[in-house]
Amino acid sequence: MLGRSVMTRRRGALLEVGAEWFIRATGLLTVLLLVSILVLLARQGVRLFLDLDYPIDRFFTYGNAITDNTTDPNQFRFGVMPPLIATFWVTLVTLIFAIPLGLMTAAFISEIAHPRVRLYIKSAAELLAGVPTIIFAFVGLALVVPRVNDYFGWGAGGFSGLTAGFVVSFVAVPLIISISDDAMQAVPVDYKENAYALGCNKLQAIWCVIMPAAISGISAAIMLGMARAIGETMIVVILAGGNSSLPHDPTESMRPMTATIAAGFGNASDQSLVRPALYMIGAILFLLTFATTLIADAILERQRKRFGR
Amino acid sequence: MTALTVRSSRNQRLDWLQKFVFSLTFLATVVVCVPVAVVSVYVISHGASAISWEFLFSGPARAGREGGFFPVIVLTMYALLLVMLFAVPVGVLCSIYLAEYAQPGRLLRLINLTIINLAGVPSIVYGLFGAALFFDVIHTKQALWVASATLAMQALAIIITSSREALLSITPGIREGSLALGVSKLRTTFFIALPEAFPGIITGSLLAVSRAAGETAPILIVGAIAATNVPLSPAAIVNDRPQMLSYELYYRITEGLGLADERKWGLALVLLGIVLVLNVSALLLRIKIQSRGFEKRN
Repeated sequence: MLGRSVMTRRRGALLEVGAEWFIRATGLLTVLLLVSILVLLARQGVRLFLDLDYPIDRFFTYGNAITDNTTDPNQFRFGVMPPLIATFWVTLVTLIFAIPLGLMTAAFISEIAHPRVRLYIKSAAELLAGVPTIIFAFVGLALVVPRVNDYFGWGAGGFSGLTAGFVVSFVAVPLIISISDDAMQAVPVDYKENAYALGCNKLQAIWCVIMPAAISGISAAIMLGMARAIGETMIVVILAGGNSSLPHDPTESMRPMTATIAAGFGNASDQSLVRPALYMIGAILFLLTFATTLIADAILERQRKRFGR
Repeated sequence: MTALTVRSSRNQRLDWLQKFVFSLTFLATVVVCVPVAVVSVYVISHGASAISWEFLFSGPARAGREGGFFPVIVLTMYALLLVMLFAVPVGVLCSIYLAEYAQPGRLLRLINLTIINLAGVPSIVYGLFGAALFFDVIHTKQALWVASATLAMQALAIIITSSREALLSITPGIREGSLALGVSKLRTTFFIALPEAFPGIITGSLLAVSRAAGETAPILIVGAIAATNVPLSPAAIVNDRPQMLSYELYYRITEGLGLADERKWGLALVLLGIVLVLNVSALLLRIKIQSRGFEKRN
């Protein structure tokens, strides 16, 4: 009787050990996923240089990124520079709009407004973050592009890096708000109280005490917003104009990295050089956002250590 | 006396500056909130007239210029269901590992960093990865499955983060009580901790699925197609190409002068409706959980 109950318990225990190992394995699955993304993209991309004989220096210096189906490495006019610079311009414009908006909103809801307002605004920001970017792109196409064309005449009929960057900023803003609000909330109340005791008014307390104390969280928020802007695809596909040559300023029509991949991948034939080239762009894109996220996390970690949360 | 007036005028200047800056921040907040209203009002006012029984529940005719988008809506639902089936079990198991089993140390730090990075990988990179993995390494042709699996990989990070959060925020006493009664750790996790964390897990899954519903770039890469006239059979879930709403909208926007604007906005409205319903229910659920936690603490 006792023996039997011990036996069944042991069988159950064995099953449990098995289940626990399975759970541990799924934990490692995430690492596997991240590593295999990079390895697979790089493997598909490096074919461009090794198997298809496209010169590396040309890939890095050529001033255009034309994704026409060619199998001849000498005819293929594709360089990573134009998409990279285009991404840089769009991201820059995004940050110019998103940083002041995001930080001021974060300061308002975190320090100035009633806590209830904070809840509402955070919910609104979350909804904003949830709206599919294709819908942003469509609304931008209907509302922003004609105005840019009428008032400024930038790019190709209003389609320009600036137009795209402006619309992308509304995608980056919720992220910046949410993380920098968390950072400001994490600053201990003593800091603020000491500032008031020294005769600061609220503005001085925010500007001279709370913001500097939360600076790591705020810069992490900006970096993550930047990563979001770098990776944003549908808005730049539709609004950036799609010119594949090297853009010299953000008011030109351009085609950032994500848009180059999205526009070229579907039409590429299996034998042409286009797909490996686009995989290569994808690998570079991955590394860019990877580095940005890593730096942001290192900065956030510093803040967490400092305030113990 | 003079020193006092200087001080008070300085204070006055500071007060004015404070008022000015505070109104600026208020203005910024309004500017951030306005797009939510503008987008929804614009989409509704332009798309509502296109929505009809036919638009929602019949197949397309004349390449989508007439008829409806029923196949697209149904296949979107199929895909979202598959995303949930793929991503939620893996995500929850992973979060169980992180919340209940992992010991603090280098490995845990590495996995946490990985998850943060997975959340930051651009969606189009997931698309490229999906195409490379499923078409060039595994050689499968079932495009709807491939699209769903790709979207599921992207959804993983959100599900893991929110489920872990939910598991970690359980009152520790409940778990300890169960362990003290001699219940094994695994059973405590599955029968005590998991039910307690269930609302939080659902919130995360809803958010992840709503993200997947709106995602266009990955399915653009793994071979989405625009609406065709195929009759829908249960076999569609296995054999069909991913005709998802988000891609349909993208295709209709970029195809040129093919479709009346009203119908495009109708599509946008259906997509926005699905996404907002998922999002708002997640939001309400979370507010409910938070207020419940608040009551408990008091």
